Amino acid sequence: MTSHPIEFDCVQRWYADRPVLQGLSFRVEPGTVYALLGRNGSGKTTALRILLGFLRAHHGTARLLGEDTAELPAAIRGRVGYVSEDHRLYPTMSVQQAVEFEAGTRPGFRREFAFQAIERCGFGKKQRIPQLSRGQRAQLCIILAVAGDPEVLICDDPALGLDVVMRRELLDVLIDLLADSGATVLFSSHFLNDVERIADRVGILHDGSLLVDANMEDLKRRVRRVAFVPREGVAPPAGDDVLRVRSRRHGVDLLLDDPDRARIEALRAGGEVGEPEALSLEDLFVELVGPDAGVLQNGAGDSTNQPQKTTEVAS
Amino acid sequence: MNSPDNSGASAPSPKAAFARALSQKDALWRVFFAFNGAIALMIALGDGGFFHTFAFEEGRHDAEFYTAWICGLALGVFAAVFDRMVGADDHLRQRPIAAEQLFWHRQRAMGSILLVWFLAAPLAGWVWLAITQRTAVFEPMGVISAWASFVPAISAAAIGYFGASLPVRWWLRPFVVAAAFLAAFTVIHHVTKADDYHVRWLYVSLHLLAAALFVGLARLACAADNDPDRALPAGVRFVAVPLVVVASILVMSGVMTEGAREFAVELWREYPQLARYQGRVRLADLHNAWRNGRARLCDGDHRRTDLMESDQWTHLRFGVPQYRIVSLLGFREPRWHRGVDSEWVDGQGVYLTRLGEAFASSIHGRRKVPTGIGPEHAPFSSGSRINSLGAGKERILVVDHESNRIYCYDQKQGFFVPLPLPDGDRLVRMRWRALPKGALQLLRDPLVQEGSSYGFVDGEKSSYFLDDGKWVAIPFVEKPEPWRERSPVVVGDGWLKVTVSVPASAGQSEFSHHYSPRTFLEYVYAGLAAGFALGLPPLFITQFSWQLAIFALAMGILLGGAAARRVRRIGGAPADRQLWLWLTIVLGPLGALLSLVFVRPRTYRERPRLAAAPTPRVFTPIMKELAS
Repeated sequence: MTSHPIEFDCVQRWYADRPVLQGLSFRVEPGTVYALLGRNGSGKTTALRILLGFLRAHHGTARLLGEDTAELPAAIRGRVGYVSEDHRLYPTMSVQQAVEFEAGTRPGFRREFAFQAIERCGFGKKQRIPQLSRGQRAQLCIILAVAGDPEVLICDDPALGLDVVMRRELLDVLIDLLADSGATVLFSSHFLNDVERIADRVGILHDGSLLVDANMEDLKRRVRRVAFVPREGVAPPAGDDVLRVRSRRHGVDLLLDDPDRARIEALRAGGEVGEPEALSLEDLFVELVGPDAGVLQNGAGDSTNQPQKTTEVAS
Repeated sequence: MNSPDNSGASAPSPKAAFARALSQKDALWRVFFAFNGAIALMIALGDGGFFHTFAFEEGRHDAEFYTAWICGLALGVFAAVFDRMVGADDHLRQRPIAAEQLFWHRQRAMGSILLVWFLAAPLAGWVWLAITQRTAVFEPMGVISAWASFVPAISAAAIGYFGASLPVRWWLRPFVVAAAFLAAFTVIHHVTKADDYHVRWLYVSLHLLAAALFVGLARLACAADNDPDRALPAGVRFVAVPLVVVASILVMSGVMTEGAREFAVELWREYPQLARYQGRVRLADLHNAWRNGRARLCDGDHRRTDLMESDQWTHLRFGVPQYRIVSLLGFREPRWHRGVDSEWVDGQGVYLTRLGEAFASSIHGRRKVPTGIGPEHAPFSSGSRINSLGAGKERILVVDHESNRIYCYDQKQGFFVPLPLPDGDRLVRMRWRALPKGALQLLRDPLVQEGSSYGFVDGEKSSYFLDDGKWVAIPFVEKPEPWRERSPVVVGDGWLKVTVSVPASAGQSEFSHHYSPRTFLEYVYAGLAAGFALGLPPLFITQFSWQLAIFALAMGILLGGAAARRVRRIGGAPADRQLWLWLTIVLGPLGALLSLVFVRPRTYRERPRLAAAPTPRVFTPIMKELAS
């Protein structure tokens, strides 16, 4: 039995001929907030659906609270909260009925906690679900999921479609509700500023597998962008630590993993090198999975199944 | 972890709370269906009059039957798709509830709605009758008869639920519902129909059995995900899908049979017919002869030759084989027995049940009062029939089934009095027939013309009509039908080829002709009919010709092999290959066609397994790994 509440072990999934997940492997520690990032169609939702047992993997195993999600027992579902990207609730219900429904179907549901949170968010118990704004519905979904006292909370892009203010409010609600709960959270999002605020660890999904699986602080500390103008006849830099080479008008931008002084000096021997630049999560994300995906360098640490894509860098 | 909030002193058990929560979730549509379905069925019960429903054991309930299955089917489909329709199926699944629990919850929801329909509709109808017509009659068998017509709601609900919840492509589900529904109802209709009426207990039993079967099939599929990239569970693949295929082919066979029949009819229109011309039986093209006044003779190869002189030929009709064959596809409302007869004369209505009980009602007073023979209102024998006859003023008559005596309703006294035939004549039959010559002047009815249909009573000695309450004897002459003396004899076992013979008679030799396609147009029609027929299961094709059936069987074997090879090529299991091979052999080419729909290449596509997951380019070991 594993001690990780969430575990993906080389999960593969296809839709018809299209591989969506190609060996997704990661684990989430208890009490951690893990952000799963990726571009549209990168497989985030598929991964979450496999984890929730809504979809089966073709190969590999996903485990939730130690159970294989291909045969997820009903009792395990009771220990997991879920917020879908479109904040689905029964449109036939009022807010109070939605709470009562959760209370009836989740043994550990805290009704008073939910009503207090709803009151704090400023919408009434009598309001019908279709009368709620998109943001209010998102808040309600999160309240209902957290009030179930879940050991694991899974949110599939909960802020999708919300404006900046609503997103901030939603995040505040989430942080507030999760405070001291000890729950493990796995969420996907496209709003990287939000992710930076709350995530302990980040996974960046690209072409069906993880490019990055790192602590937030570690990631921001390690990855640096370096402007490099090679001398004539010097080959473009390569190696495990070169995450990406993006050509510029003069030279290239290198994305380096944890470059130390020696590495910078070695680069200087081949050309002009700028100061290593720290990146925000958003910049880092764009650099890694940005539109010219073809410039991704083939590191020595790649598996043979990693996409083998290289681009010649103009010297 | 936080502790749950169980502030209530008498908190319900988790199971009860769960059931209540699920019921609350469905409350709106359950109330909607329960209320509207009960109203619809109540209106259907009143279609023939509530009095009929509650006073008599009605023989047929058309409106109730059609309303019941429409409501049932809608209920089943809605129960299956509601959560998906509002987009909350994942929201529902992501809680501690097993798929099977959810399945049984939905069955209970449907069951409770059906129960409301069965109880509330008759009760509301009866209350309506009692209040508006001040007639609190109640015949238990009448309600049972209505319930028997409601039973298709149960099977239709089960079929609707099964079809709408089957984990196949969304656009396939309406077809599954339609095929299962049509096939099940058609089979039940034909199996339970004996002569003109349905066997009620068998009808009800088979509908309940169908409901159980489809609920069982839906139960098999309830835990299966609708994932086109994974094979369905064995129970669905080897039980539910084959049954759906059989149902689909039954329905498609009905369509193919209709197509074949249409072209067979065209072929028989194209074939020359038989006519007696110049004392001989000849082949002749009589198509539109009645309109053009011209007809042509034909030779043995169906080529049109000489014109026939008008009025010199007589058409010798014979039964064309394909007209005798009707498609089995389709169903009608059940008929348990002969219904309640009623006759209305001058605002006075009299009802007669099949058990011989009579009720009288006036058009102004809505109340029905019992009546019968004599002032003591004695009932008629079971099976007695009611009619209205008479010139000038019609009279309501009842022919007592056992005594064969005729009774006439006396409107003033409010009961039936005997109306014997003159001279002790005994009744043979009462019927409507063309008015014979010589009878017109006996009638004093100015509206009646010679040749028009009129009600008569045939006695052993004479025929009679009723004139102002008295029997008047009329001359009776049966018109001979000479062409029936030498009817052509049809020999053959198929739709397309038969031999027709006309037996020899005085001065005329025997005539015989073998009908088979001979002209280009006949070959086209025969080919099209055979083409449609080849789409049927080989067993069904025997009604066309056994040679065609053997050909279809050979084609089924070839196509079955092709279907099995395709399943193998795309990666299907040996059991799947065997299934589609045999389905195609037994069910014909349509089986192979359906294998294309139900066995999709993406389901079985080979997907290589990675030996190891790719290592992330930036990776931070998690704390426990660091510690180890």
